[in-house]
Amino acid sequence: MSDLHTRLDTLELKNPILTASGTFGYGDDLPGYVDIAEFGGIVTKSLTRQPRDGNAPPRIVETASGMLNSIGLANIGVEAFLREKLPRIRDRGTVIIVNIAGSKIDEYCEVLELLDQEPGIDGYEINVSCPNVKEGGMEFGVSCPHLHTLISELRDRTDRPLITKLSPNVTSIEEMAEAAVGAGSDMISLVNTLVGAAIDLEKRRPVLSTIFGGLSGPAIKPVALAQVFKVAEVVDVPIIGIGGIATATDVLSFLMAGASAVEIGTMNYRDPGVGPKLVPAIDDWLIQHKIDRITDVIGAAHG
Amino acid sequence: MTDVYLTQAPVRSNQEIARQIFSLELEAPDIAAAFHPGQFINIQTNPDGAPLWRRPFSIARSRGQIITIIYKAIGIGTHQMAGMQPGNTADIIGPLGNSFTTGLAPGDRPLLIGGGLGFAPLIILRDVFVRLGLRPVLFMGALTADEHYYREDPDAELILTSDDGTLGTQGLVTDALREYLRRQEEPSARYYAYSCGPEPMMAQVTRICQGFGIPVELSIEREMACGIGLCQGCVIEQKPPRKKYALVCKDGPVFDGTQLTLTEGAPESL
Repeated sequence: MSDLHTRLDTLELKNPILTASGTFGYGDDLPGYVDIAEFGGIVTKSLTRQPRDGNAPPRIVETASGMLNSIGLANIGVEAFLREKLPRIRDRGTVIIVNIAGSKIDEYCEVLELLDQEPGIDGYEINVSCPNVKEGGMEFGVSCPHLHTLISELRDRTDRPLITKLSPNVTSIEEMAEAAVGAGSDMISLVNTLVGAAIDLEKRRPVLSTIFGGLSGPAIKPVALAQVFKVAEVVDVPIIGIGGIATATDVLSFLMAGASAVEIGTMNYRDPGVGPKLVPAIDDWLIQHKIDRITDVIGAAHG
Repeated sequence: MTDVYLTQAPVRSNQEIARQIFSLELEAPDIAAAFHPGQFINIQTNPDGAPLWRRPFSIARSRGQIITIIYKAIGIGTHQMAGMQPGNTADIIGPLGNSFTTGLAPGDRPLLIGGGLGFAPLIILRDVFVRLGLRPVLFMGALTADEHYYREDPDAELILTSDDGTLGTQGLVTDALREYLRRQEEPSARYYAYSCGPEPMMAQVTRICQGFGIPVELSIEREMACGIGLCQGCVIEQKPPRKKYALVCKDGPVFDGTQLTLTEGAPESL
């Protein structure tokens, strides 16, 4: 067996597979055949200061090799998470990353401060790129100065690792990555969903209640790989690759493009246990190619 | 979710029982032993590609280690299902969701009102009630005779309707329900209604039952990306003071009809 451990800043992962925010709940309410300890880490659903109902239905629609969603950050709120969820997932043998969303800098900071008082959280992923709510912090995801200010404020408030999750819906994702790192982000994860739409012919209306939603799934994988490749050229911090990952080949592709780990998202909907099932195939490939450590392939495609 | 299984279920049979409507029997001992009427399974119709999502189907019947689902071949996933044969296996997750209330007392009269494919989850309920010695009244409506897949029942009262009059009474199944309740002369009979079908039909069933003071449980259908509460996509709006949106996959698919904000409108297919 090869050494599948990978490192994200100060975090040691047993394998490079995490779950993407919004595709794995809070990690506590899964079918019995899924064991979170088999993942390198899990990323929770986005948490906001107050609970949110989310958007009106329809919220989801299947598309070619993917899906659109417009959930609207439906979540139980940070306080209920700390009370009901965190005790059930910490100390379970996997890295716990909590995803934070907000509409204003103050809200992000309040959520982070509440989380930071609790043990058992290994790091934060900052959602600056939710396309589905008007006040979803999207301005932080498309404006370098806004992003820099937000990440700086959060950096001042925690010593835990900070991951900035970037939107692909920008002109230059490299500039956004540089702004985040310049403000003290320890890592970058990318990409969030791509803005998309679907039309209901019979109703002559958009399918989604919000008109636009976020496209995810294998359809976006080449886009995500390109963005990861670009960002890897300009930042020196660890990168987490996200976007349509379904197979061991996909995982290795993202690592070679420059990611140190990956998040699996949409494919969890088919099988929430899919992540750990890719591990043996990744190991097989490494053994066949006489590679002892998975970290040896990180960035290999950059020549 | 301790009683949820992911399993490769051998196909026992897959027969067309009405026009484009199929009955698929799967060997799934864990699910057959664990499920309750109203629960569903989520089936992956193509492990290698499209469609991306599994497709959810209520369990329509069960005997021994076998569970049966009934589906109509209308889209890419269900057409793939129509091609399944003995010798194949189906990748399924289940049992999922909540279930119907089945704890009725002797003398209670269950009313099962199904529109089209919506009759499927009511069949297992019928089986349970018959086993309990109750005599359920079954209302089954479809567009036309060709789409009727439940035509006889020696152990229950069966009332059939079709929109075009080719089988049973011409008209809507909701009209048949209303007529039936008006004719009843036993005010003491304790009725419990269960319904599944197009949403406007279920809205009408709920109104009729409320008018007669009869409790009504509905099995709601929604597109689902996951079926297990992860995607938060399959929501239905509830009335206050309940939380605004319920997950059909997890809080449902069975709901008290009076608690939901249902889609109204002209029923299309009863």
